[in-house]
Amino acid sequence: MKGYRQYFLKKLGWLMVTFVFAFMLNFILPRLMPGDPVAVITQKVTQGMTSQAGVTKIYEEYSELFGTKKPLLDQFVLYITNVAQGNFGISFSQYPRPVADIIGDAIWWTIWLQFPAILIGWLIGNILGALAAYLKGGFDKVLMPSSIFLSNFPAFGMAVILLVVFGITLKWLPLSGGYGFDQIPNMSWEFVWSVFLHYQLPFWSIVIISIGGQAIGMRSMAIYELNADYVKYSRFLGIKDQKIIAYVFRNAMLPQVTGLALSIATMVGGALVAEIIFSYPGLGNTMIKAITGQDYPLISGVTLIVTLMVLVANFLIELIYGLIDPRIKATQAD
Amino acid sequence: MGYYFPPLHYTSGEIIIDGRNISGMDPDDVRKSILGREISYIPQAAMNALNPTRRIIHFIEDVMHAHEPSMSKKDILAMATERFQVLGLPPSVLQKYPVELSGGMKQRTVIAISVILSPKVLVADEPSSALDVTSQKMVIKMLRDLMDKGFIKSMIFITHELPLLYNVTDDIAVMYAGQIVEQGSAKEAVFTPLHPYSKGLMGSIIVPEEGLREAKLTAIPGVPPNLKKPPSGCRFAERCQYVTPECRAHSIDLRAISEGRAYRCILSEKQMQEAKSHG
Amino acid sequence: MNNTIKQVFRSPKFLVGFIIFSMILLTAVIYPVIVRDPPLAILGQGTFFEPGVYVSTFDTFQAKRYKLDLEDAATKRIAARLGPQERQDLKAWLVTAGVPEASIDTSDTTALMDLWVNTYDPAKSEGMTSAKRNYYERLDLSLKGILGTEGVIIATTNAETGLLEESDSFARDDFVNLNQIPVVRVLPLGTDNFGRDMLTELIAATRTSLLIGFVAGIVATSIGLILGLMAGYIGGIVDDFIMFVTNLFTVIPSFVLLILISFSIGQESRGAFTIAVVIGLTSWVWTTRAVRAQVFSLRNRDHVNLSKLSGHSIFRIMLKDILPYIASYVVMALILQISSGILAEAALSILGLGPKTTEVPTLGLMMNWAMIYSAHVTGKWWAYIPVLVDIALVSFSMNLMNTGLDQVFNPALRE
Repeated sequence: MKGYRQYFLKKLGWLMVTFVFAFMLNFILPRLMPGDPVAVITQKVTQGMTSQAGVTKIYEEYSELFGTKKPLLDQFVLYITNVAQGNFGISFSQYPRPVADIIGDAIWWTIWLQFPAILIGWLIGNILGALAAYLKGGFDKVLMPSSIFLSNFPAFGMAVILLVVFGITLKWLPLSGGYGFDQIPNMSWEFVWSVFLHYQLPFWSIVIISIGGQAIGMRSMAIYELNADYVKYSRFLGIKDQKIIAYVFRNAMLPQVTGLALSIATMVGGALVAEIIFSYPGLGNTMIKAITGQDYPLISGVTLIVTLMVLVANFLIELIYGLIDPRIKATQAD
Repeated sequence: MGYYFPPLHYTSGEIIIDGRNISGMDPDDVRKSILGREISYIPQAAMNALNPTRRIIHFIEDVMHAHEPSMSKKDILAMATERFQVLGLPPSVLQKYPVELSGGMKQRTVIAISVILSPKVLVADEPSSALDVTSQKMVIKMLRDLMDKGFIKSMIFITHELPLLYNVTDDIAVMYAGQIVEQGSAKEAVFTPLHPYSKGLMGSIIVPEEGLREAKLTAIPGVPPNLKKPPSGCRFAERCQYVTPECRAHSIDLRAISEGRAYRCILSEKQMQEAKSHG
Repeated sequence: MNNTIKQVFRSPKFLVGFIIFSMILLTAVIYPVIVRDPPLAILGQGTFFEPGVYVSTFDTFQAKRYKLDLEDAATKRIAARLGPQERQDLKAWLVTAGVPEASIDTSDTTALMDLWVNTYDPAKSEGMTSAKRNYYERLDLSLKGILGTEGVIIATTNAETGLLEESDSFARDDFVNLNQIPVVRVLPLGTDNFGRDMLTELIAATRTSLLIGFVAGIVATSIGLILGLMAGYIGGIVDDFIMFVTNLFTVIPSFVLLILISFSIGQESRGAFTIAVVIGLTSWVWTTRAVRAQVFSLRNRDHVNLSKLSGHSIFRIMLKDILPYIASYVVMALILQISSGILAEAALSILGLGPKTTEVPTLGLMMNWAMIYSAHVTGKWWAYIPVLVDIALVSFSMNLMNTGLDQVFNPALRE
């Protein structure tokens, strides 16, 4: 267990480092841009306002809030302190709701939608890829081109197609939202059923999109492993084929887990856009509302939360990898 | 056996081990009663011969269970520990993953696993080629140990290194382009080669002796034929200095000249020995 | 080199991808030469005109008339008048009037019409609401109108008296020759929400999107190549630092950076080129990793060591002894970057952070407009299906080429 603890601490350290950098980027990027963000914000807020004194006052208020007149380092400390207290500021477009409150409402929709969908897509993709490598022939010939097609099809495109086919043409499933318009969130079966129905289209569009890339990756890995020397050697020693296949797929699976950790950032990005097509009440939708409303604090809050979400997901996958790859525990101890 | 290892496939010939013809046997019987037990194998690249995510002992358990499903894990561990000790390998290796072992140690572990069922024949495919000289020596010593201690009855040693071969084996068969071109005792094959290719092969060895500085190594001109479309006549004809039109006309058979001694050439034994002086 | 190219073109995957991609590229280049309409010109005074041939009504009145005696003219008119909804309504009435449901086939216009004309009687509508009754009467009247024989009269206002006077009339068997009509406009893909010709716009958008992808790909691949070469060849602390940064940007989602930067740039200064550069700046990580791994395996090869011993500069070694060996990987990486750049632009545009909308169309912007105007919900398929198919074909063909190349250069994957 000593080896794993070392591995865990290493990954935790890395998580901390990436956290700090995520904060810094989120803080610095908007401030690097030419122009005075506060002036832009003030202009948005005061549109139609005639009193010059009022405009100046609002400008002063925002300068105070963002601390733009202080040195950059002080601003950063202010930013970190605010965020640490869960204070992301007040939303412009949904004034006077605090940003933290808006994100708090949306984040669970996104987490419950995306992570199960990405995991299921990953699983199905790996099984299909492994089968393609093992069965070869016709199955492979059909699966490979369709996987290439799927993996490069934009997530929003899949969302639109599912929406048109199952929502509009066949009328099987609701088009948009997280639950029916006529529902008030409560714990009744009716509400849960409505949530379940609304969950289907966004869920499957993310699943289908994730399958392609994973299937291609798993196929290559499995072919590589099937040709590995240990496979030939094991066969020569008379080990049963089923056992050898089990070796191969376990070994091919391991890089796929790492692959998931590396690509989860990209996948979440695509899935957020898919959410928008269905007006799913998650972070994707919050983001587009923030962008159309030029709601600076909300955008900043959402991007930070999404980054943190991805970092944590990445960290968790790495932890699981440490558990399932026996070499980690063995080699870290030295 | 070809049917057991695609893309290899059976075309002709028989495999007889200890008087038992195994060609045409049911593949699962081959797996269970022949592989590992009658014939075993040491692969060329031991670096990747072991499943990287399985401890050595677990891999040995898999091998044993493929042949003796009833054997308990405890017995296997005891047996493996004893066998490793006898072969001079620390039993702690059993609990390790391949990545934790050094190259030489890995090769010796692979050898120990290959002979765990005391096979009749051990096929060693360049078992020392990727190793440094010290590890090479240990591997060769181990292989001889196996014979001496009776873990294996015989060994087929495949290599390019003739001096090594001469030290390890009783008989040598020289192969060219997929065919045996000469067969004989180690001494005969090395010192009185009959086939032009074997002659060339033996001629390419540097012998540390007087006048070495001035001596020139003789190389065989040309390149081996394309084995996808082997030539219809003698496969060595294109590179042979004694080539005659007849050589290219039809394939040449392996000719036995005495017990255990044979070669594949139309020239007579006498002609060959005379030609030696030129070689 | 020649041999490699031959081998590449023998890979069926590469070939199919190459053909699709070349056709798209050729269309994008040649079409604007032939059709010189500005892609963003607004033609339609309204949203989402259906695909088809648009004929000037005014010209039809002026054109020479011909008499054609076509038997099925009436049936065709009726068939056009009866949409799926009307057919269902007719059926509903017939069923309440006692006609067995099984004997009504709504897809056979002639039979349905015969049944209707023979059965319909306003008196039988008694059980219905008055609105329903009136609806059926109006429908019946209009159908009977189509079955009649009267023509249409064109009347113009007399400027002096202010009275309508007949100036012209059409009979039902009057025809004009389409070739004699001076103003005809073909809109193969209809118009978009602003009334712009979808086809012209789509092709212009494909061109811009390909350019965006290309610029983004070049930027990303150059950064990735330089960083990868430095990390892999120089190694040591340079490698540690570059890999640290690369790992950092691998886990920090690039689209978040993309959103932050695009938003910060502001709508006004977001041109297509700026967006392309920003996409390139946020997507170099994978190339860096791949190039570094390749260089790592190359840097201790004999020919590199020989070059080092000969005292060649690092720059020369990288250029002459390393780059040629990783060229195939770099080309593959570039292809992937271009295609993912196109997708990134599309995703950004859907978020409303795409290039400024007034200059050029891009595939992402067209998709965004279609979504904003709910084309997908209202069944205006021509506003988004061609765009999606286009995006899919571009990225599919490029990835197919890439897979083909991969199989040529990595023989293990060939089976």
